[in-house]
Amino acid sequence: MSLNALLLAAVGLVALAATGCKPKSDDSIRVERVPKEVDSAPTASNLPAGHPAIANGAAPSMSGPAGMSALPGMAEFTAATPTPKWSPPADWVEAGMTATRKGSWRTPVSAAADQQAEIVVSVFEGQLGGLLANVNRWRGKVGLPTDLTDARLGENVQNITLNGRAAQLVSLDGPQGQSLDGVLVFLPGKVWSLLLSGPTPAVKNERTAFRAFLDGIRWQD
Amino acid sequence: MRPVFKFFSSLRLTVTLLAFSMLLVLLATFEQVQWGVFEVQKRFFEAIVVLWQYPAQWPHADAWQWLKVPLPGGFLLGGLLLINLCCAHFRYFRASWRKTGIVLIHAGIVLLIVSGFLTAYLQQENYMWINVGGQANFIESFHDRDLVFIDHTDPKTDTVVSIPVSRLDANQPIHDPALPFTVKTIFYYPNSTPGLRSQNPEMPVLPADHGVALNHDLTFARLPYNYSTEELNVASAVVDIEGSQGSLGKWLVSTMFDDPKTMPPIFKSGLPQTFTMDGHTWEVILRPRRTYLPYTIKLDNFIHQLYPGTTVPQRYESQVHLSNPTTNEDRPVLIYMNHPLRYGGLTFYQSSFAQGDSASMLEVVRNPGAPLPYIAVLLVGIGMALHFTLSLTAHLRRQSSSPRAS
Repeated sequence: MSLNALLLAAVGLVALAATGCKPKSDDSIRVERVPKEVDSAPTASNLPAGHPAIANGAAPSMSGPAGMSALPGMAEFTAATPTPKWSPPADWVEAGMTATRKGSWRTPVSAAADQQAEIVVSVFEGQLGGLLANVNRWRGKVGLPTDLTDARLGENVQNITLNGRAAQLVSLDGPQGQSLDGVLVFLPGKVWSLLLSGPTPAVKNERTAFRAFLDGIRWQD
Repeated sequence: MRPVFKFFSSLRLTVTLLAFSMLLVLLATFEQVQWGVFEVQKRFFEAIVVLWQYPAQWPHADAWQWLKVPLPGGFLLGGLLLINLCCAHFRYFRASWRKTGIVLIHAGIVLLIVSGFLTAYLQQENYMWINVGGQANFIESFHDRDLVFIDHTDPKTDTVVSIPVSRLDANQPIHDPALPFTVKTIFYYPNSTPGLRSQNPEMPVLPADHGVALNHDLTFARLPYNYSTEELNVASAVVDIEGSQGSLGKWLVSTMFDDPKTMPPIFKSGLPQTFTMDGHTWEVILRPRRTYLPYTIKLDNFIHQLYPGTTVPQRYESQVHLSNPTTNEDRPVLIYMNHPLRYGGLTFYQSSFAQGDSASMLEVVRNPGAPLPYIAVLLVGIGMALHFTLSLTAHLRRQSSSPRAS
């Protein structure tokens, strides 16, 4: 019995140590000496041979907790906003849908994944920083200078009407083989963003279908 | 037999503990919808006691939300089960080679419980984002955040001083020998939403007067902490930096500014945020906690193939190059689903991708106790097989030695 008592005490101590002393997360200040950080963003010179060009400023956007573009509450706002009625062309394949997108397609399906254009429809709460900021952001995505000012905004923007709503269309072809057609529809308290983007040939190929898709939209909100 | 030993070795206790374990798993599964896996793991399984409250999503929540029930947490149940198993073993076990199988089964179960504790204590989950053509020599935490000051003065190396956000207390200025200045926290929001006051005049004016805050009317409003695994918490803070000659400015920092490349142009002006003191140039950032590695992983290519004509993924694959100057290693490695890279005590899993398939995310896990569950299951399996074989042999021997019925 004494051996049993000893063993019992030992096991109890181990169990108490395990259950009662969960280490708190370390809150000490750490000092490290590290080599200068190498910019991990791809450039034309460090891409492998044959890899399509990637616009400067492009960034990990979704899929996973590290993606930084999804603002808090965006998924709920997206879910709460009624989806417009639309008729995407038959050769657009739904792909890349996330909780913060209203619609997401890729095309054409016969092309390799990195040669496909992407069509994304999103809705944002607020005004998304305004038209100029977004045009500059899109210019950055395709590798164009991002220093556009209000005075020259008109050179990039075409005013259109989508199902009775005023909208601004921006068509950009970047120097690194990336293109983007973007439409913003500013409404009180929210903005609809409709984007066609990808390698220039794929985007050029889809522009007519994208305009037809825009013309067919029927807002529900 | 002493009553305490009798209690801890009783089968009734085993059944009670197992019933509570099942209840805990069931309730935690319900709560996971609201709190997410990470939080539920902490509240239910890595806890001694759980205070369960009638969930707001359940029927008649208004009438029943007062109901709070204390329950034993996973650590308490696991610890008691361990004690119970060991006590029962010593109470009922009589040494005999025929019982070898039972011993192995018990050892396997004990090892399984111990490995659960070890995983809870020691497992660390991080991630590594790499763009195609880019490289990384650090991993970042999913949950921990640091306020970081980087001294860029040396042309070859940076001195990185990382202050955990748990230290950002408005009443506790931070002094550290590594920092020639004092850091005073004006506020820290674990989750917040950015906005421009010109667009949302109702948003607060921040008390920041340097860097990014100086260039436009960017502001942050506090939000409740978000436990969803789908969305990020955007942490933000304003810190007052005071040198020996007075204030070096009040700086707005946010995890949104962690990587200026990901920022829309309107936020780029003013980043990176730097100041000079005593000839040293310091940068201030709020970012996920980084662990630097003694080696570099470069992403040569990322392949994401779909089955033709469908959106069904066929293959995700990161073609990386591992370079470790300390061991003179420089080799290509393929990382794809169910084929991780195991290196230096870390396991790199293919986890996600983004940016038009030009950026890959590797989930990086450190779990020194990872082999233990395999060993435990192996022990239980061998124990069961041995016990079955010995029992069958004994039974057959008894049958053959007993007189046959005529």
